[in-house]
Amino acid sequence: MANTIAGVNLAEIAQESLSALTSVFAPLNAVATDFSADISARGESVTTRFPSNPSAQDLSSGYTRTDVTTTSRTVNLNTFFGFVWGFNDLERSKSAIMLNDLFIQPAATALGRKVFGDLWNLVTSSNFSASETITASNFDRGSIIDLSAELTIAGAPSEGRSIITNPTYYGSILKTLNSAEFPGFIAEKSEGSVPRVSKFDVYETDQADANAQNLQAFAMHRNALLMAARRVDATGASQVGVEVEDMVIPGLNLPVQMRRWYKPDTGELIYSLGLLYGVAVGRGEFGVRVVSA
Amino acid sequence: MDSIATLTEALSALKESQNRASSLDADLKAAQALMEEQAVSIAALKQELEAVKAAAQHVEAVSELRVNEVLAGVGVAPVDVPIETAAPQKTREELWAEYRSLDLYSRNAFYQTHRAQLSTLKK
Repeated sequence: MANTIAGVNLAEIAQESLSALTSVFAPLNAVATDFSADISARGESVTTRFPSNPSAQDLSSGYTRTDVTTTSRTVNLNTFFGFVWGFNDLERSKSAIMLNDLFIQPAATALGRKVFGDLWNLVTSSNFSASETITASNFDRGSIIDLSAELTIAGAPSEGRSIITNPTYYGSILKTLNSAEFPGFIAEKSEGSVPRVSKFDVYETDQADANAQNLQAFAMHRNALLMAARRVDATGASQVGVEVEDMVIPGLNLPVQMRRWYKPDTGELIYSLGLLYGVAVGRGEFGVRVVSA
Repeated sequence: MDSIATLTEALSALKESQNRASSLDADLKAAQALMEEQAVSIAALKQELEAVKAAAQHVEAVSELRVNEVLAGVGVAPVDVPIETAAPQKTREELWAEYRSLDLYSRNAFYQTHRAQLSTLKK
């Protein structure tokens, strides 16, 4: 059994924090991911290849091979971010609660905001040329149907589509669906959640800022944005008394690492939550930016 | 006179001895009769014990034969039925050791299955 500091072992804390991490990182389902918890999957980058969209050919006169092409995209694993927090003996002694445990969820939220901030910063006119100008009050189910048609014309598969919006535009969809589409008082109204609309999963995030281009929402196929992540190598940490607990977020298999150690000279119990990842633009034609002006 | 008195005393002592001998002989005969009577009783009890043993063996043999006949009638061969004992419940330490032996992808489900025993955090 692993070392136990402050009465609870780190694996237990990690497992109990998974629900918060699952919620924070749920919108990652909208993007193409390559996550590995295996240390053996080393390398500075991950390369993904997309096949071209070929046309069917007449086979009645024979089987003639058609040349195909692939487009490669590389995701550099260049972002190692997390959050480190801790309290000294005096602070913990005076507290009636487990101070360190209290900050696990805020740490997860901070990490989630950083990841989505990085992804969102890729949604620019230089990376995704297609855009629609729609004001918040006019952003409704009809708008989403139009965005769906635009992606279909661009060749995006109908499955794996999502819309990521800021809270204002998310609220606009919710209002129109509530008033015009949903009779009675149902769970979506109680929870304030938008269900799938025209094959889009709809995600709300406060990280969807304007990117200095009046950006409000982004309609995309999952291959428009790419994310890769790898487990952090902690070899040697345990030999110097650092507890290391790797975990994978259910459904995503995103590897996240928690660490805990005690600094005897300062009397501090330190926690960290870390993630090694990279993001990149995938297929630029598979995304449509929604701008307000 | 002294010789006559001595003879009379001797005669009296002889009679007394004869009477005592007769009494002892009677006691001996009574004891022999009792022994013969007890020997007969013991022989009867032995015979009775042998009869009971024989009867018990017969009942056991007939019972086994009857049980086999009944089981054969329902198509089940007689088998020895082992007494099952419940597997001992694993301790918290053993569960954590098992948790750590799993790969990362299997740990979440294992923890949820055994959460009640593994978790010490306030819910």
